Amino acid sequence: MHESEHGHSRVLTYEGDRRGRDVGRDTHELGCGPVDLRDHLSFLNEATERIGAGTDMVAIAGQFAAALVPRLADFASVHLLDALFVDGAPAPPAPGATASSLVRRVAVAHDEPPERWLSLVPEGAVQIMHDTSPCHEAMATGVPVWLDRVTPDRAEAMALSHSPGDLYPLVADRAYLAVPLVVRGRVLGCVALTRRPERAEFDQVDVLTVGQLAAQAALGVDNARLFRGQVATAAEFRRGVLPTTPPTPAGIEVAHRYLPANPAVEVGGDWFDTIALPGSRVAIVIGDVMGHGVRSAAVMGHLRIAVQTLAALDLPPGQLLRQLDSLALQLGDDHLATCLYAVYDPIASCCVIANAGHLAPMLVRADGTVERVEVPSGAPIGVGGVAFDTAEIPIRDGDVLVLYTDGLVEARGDDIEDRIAALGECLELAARPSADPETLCDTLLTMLDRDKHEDDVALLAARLKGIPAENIANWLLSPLPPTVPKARRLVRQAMAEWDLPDGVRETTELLATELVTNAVRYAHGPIELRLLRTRTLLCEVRDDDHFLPILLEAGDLDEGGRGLFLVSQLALRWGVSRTANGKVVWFEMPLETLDHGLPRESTIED
Amino acid sequence: MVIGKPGSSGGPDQAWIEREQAQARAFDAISTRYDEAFPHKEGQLAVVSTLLERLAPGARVLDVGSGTGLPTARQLADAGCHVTGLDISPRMIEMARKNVPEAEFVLGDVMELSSEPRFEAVTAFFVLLNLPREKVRTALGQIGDVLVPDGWFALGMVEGDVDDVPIAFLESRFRVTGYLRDDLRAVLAESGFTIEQEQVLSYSPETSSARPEIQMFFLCRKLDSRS
Repeated sequence: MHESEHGHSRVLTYEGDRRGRDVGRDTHELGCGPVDLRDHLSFLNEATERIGAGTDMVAIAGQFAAALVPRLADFASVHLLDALFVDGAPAPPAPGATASSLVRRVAVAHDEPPERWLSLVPEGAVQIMHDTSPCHEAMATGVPVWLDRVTPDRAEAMALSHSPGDLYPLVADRAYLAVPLVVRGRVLGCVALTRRPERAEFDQVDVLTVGQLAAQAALGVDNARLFRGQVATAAEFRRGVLPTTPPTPAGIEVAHRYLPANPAVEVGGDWFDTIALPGSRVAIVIGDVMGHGVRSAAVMGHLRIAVQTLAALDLPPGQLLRQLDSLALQLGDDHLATCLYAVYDPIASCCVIANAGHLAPMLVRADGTVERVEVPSGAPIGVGGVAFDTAEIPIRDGDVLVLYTDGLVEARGDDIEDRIAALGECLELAARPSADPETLCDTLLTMLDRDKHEDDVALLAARLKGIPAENIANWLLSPLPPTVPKARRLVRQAMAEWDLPDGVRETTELLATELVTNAVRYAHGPIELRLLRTRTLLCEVRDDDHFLPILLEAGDLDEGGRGLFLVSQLALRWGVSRTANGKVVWFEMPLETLDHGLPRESTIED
Repeated sequence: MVIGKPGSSGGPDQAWIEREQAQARAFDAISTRYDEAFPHKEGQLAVVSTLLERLAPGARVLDVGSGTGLPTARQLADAGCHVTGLDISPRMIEMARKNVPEAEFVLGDVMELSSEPRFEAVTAFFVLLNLPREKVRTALGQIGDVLVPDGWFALGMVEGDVDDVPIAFLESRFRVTGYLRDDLRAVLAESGFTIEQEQVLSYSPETSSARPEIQMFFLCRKLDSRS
């Protein structure tokens, strides 16, 4: 406490009326008997408990202010550095570096009617502490500062630098105590207390008492700040690794739910994904990294990106998991996870599924019956050296594929097989009113009462709607020059049958011709030309040449490069992927005449 | 009924025979899966219905590439036709005999048909696409030869522009041939057929191991040889 000498003497010369004193000097004033002491300790105990009960910074400050009034002061206000409320702000300053810090008044307590000081010292207001305020000095020095009486001159000076309203009546002729909130050598804010003139000045016991409670409050605030930072980091991290709005490729409708085991941290090792693949196929992924919390979430992030990258190569499901397994082994021995990778083909009406130790999905058939999909069990990712078998599941349009992690069915003491059977029954009941994926997820979670889950829960429901054959045209063509005009004719003919808008027809014909021209130049085996009409018109050209084309700048005279340049300029989206036998180059055109939903798609079925 | 040309199996084209044997083995392999992958055959059923409207009861019909006998041999037999099925796959023949006991199924190749005109109609659904173009013409000639004057020919093909290229189909290797619809019309005309009716439709097999296709159905009549 000897440090107060420094702040005190400096301000003394400035004000002259101010008492900043060494606490040790007035020990005789303590003079309390056993009853007083018991009462005092009981107050301290109760106040400490109140302060400790707060969970966030504002609540702790509120409890602190409330504990001080009326026993220690008639008025108390708690101020915290505004930077504490900003995510990612640097650590709080050391004393001496607070002069220009923004400070937020987070809690005010007093014994007068609530509105008495409301407009003068509103909670939530942000200011820079003026050097006329004892709080300024308390924060700058890191030690308590107190005035026996605020003189009219000092009150005038404080009022002049205060806005809004007139501060004079709140401080003039009052006893004033400012105690900084300091923890681990850092200043987090301060508390200001005043007593009306008729009350005694603050004494050493008061200063020690407030100091004790301020230390408690500061620790609580700092912990809350660090925890809040952790939660924010975790939430940000999760936002970075989980799809917020799942992509909705044609032919599928997806809903998902994610319930972390620790809702405060909001991250876990479960993940899911939907990834659009060439040919309107969709990869549906679910996985579960062993363990919980931030560490497993970080591993999850790695594996999820790896799956996305491998999916972009359009590897068959079994091969994809094999590659993921090798990658996981390279990434570290904590990269252990179960994962299920399904590729839904809305044209072929089937799902090809490979599994790495994950729970088998459920299939809610369009007629309401529920099946547990038979998939190979497989070894978890990260075990290494195992092959992953695949299963092909026939799908009827309207079936809903339900993927989930074990958190949904695991409960202590229950047999997992029983829980899975129960899940099947719940699904059957849930699907009865509506097999809409969103409704299904909600109903299912309510039925299973998953609020009490001990493990992360991920749930994904995908309605597999299919694409009617009428919206597909597919031809095998020879890799010979006469194919180019023939392909052009086929495309024109198909678009005329579909009654597509003129603008789309002209551009598609041009771009499709460019892609077929490229394919004819490089392919050895047959070329496959496909048109697919959904919300967009998709045109794909497959050939057996493994070299992916390179997009050249405009102005280059190479015709192949020019073709792709045209595609990149005129198509809505385009891309190139490797296939098992070569590559596929594709582009999409918007179908603008969609003023009443999908063109015919919904009416053509059946 | 003797369907093969005498001595034709010992013909000079050994390479062709080996190829047909390989193709037959491939069909054996997919015999149980074929109808699963192609469950809806509305286009095929429709063209056969139209054909049946034009045939007299008890008409003799040859189904080339009869496969499992479903649905065409079954449909023809149900309508009271005298059905002969022809296929190169012993497994398929076996299944067809179970599916359509009242029809006669013969193991053999369309190229080996003896040229006696003895059928009022011939059907050939998705079978000529397994021949190279040059052989498709020969096969069409053979079919013309076994038809009586003014006989009917129902053909199902997949639209494409390839001649005898290898593809993967239901995890087996096949060689396939395709025509664009205009080209096929020309080939049919050159082979002595007039087209009475045609239908083109998109089809998606219910498996990831076969690609979607555009199916073409033609109902033709053998041109009167006098004209």
